[in-house]
Amino acid sequence: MLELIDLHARVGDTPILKGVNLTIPAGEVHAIMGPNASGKSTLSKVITGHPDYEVTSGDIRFEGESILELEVEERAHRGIFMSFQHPVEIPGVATSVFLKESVNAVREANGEEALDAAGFLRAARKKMKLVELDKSLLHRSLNEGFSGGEKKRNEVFQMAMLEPKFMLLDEPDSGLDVDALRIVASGVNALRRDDRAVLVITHYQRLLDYLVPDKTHVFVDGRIVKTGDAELAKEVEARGYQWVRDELKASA
Amino acid sequence: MAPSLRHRDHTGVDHYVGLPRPAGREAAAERLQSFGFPGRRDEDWFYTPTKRLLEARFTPVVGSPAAVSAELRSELPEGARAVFVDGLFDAELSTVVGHLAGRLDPAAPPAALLGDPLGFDALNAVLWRDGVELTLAEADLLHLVHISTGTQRLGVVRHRIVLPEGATATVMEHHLGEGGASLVASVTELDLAARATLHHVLLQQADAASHHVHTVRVRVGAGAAYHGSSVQAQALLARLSWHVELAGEGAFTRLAGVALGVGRSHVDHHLLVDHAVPGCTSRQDVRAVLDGHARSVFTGKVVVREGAQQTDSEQANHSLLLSDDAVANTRPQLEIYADDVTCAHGATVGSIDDDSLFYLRQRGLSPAAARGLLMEGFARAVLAELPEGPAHDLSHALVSRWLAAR
Repeated sequence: MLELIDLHARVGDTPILKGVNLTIPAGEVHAIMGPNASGKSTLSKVITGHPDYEVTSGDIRFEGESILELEVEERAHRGIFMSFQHPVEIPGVATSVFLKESVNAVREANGEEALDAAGFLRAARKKMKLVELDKSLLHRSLNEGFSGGEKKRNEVFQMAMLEPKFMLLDEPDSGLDVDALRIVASGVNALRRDDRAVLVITHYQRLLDYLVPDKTHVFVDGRIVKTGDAELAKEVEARGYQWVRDELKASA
Repeated sequence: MAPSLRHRDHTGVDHYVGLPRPAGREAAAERLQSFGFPGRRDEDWFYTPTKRLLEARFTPVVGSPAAVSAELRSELPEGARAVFVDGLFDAELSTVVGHLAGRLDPAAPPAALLGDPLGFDALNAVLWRDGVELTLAEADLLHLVHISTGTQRLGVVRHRIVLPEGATATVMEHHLGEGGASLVASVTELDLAARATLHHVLLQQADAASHHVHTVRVRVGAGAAYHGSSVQAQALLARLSWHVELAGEGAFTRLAGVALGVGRSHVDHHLLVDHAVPGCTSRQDVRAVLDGHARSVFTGKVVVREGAQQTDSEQANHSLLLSDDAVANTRPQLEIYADDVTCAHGATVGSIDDDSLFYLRQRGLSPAAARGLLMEGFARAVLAELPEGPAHDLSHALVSRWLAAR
């Protein structure tokens, strides 16, 4: 579903991605783990098309087609969704107003009929249950004054409403206690399907107890240096990243 | 706390003093003659030049009110409304009855709250011919509508409204207009008795070439609450002088303003909150969204009188600039003569936040739709506390309409 081919990218004059190769087939969950400042978050911004990041070489292919020339919103229309590490607070914009506009922008871009107010509310009420959010949240300003857990659950709720093909979770576990973590993970699990794929970027293995990856990739200095199964995540958690670096040096 | 004119301009004074006026206005005319209008270097008008306005020499309509177009008639709010066309009461367009139909008598000027008027307030005192004078009852909702019908016309109107003890009511003032450059010089005096609550909403959506100089003067009694909201969405020049005296212990005021500017429009919110007694609370939140060469001015003056302990005051002014040529002037002024007070103020001027824009685009919104939503949220956040009903709906609709038309 998603292929990154020798992907290089920079922000300003600073190269950050230095040849990322990654293929995520439909139906799979992949995890990327890496130390701070390894370029993990840059990877998610480059995949989603953030205007501050410039792809200098390589390609991003989604369902077989290059998406490098597509704008942020066009990639979203194709079915790429990123759950933000730090969801933005937008005072004055009710969650329901924003989300209805968002759902209908994606639907209309795909030739589907826009949801009316009643249809939207029906769908929203159903999907909020998935992440145990209260429906009063719909009337509150988007993410404003939400707790850390509410923000992350709100991301998964939006994901459920938009029904993306590719779910990119950028540190969905940061700032969450174990209970909130479980709710977020079970929300994501409920959205998994054979025709959807998940990429989760995280520091910590604990999330992966609930959201078990088919493959784990270790990301160091702008590229993937090691790939394994769910056990690799546990090994990284236990031993840190230094041994991966040491292995790299030894093989160089 | 009378305003002063430190720098004066006598342009146009002879014209206005020479116009026909109701009897008994000699003293006001003399004040206008001797003090003139605020000049370019007067502190309270520093960012709002009046020279061209004064050179324009507007003239009032005398006799019966001018005809109002079908288009403007269709914009009249539903419910109890008193309509003033170029400053004259229009009985045909008005729907007020009973206690809401009370009118000022131009031959018997009221003992004004205003004190000794200066500048445009003096102009108002010399030339006003009409306005309401009434005492509201519980749950009243009154619309005061000001219409300017044409170029070079002067509308001078004055209202005096009393809210009795413990009552809650809403007054909405609408400025509508067509036909180009005109001047409306209005004064609204509000007197809130103890524990009364008034929602006062000012919606300015007049002609893009019109001028508005409005003084709102409020006295808030003990335990009473004055909630003022202003949306200035049109006009070449809109100046709102908003003077609130917290006169009884435990009085509260919240002043919320939205300045929306395009082209060369100029919107000035000039706020003065006077904490005259202990234990009062005030909030000011004024926001501007500016495009083209538009300019907004915010002056937020908070005075805490000697002995006005336990004063709690907060002030915020945030501006969103959509073009390189838009300008926001912001000026907090605190004068504090008591020691046990909390006074906070903050101001920001910026453009649309890139992180927010990226977030919304990631959710599928086009850049234009995302910007629209962010602007709307920014402006409407100030109006979030309006009570449900016309006050809320009409204010928010005006913001949305302006953004859609921008």
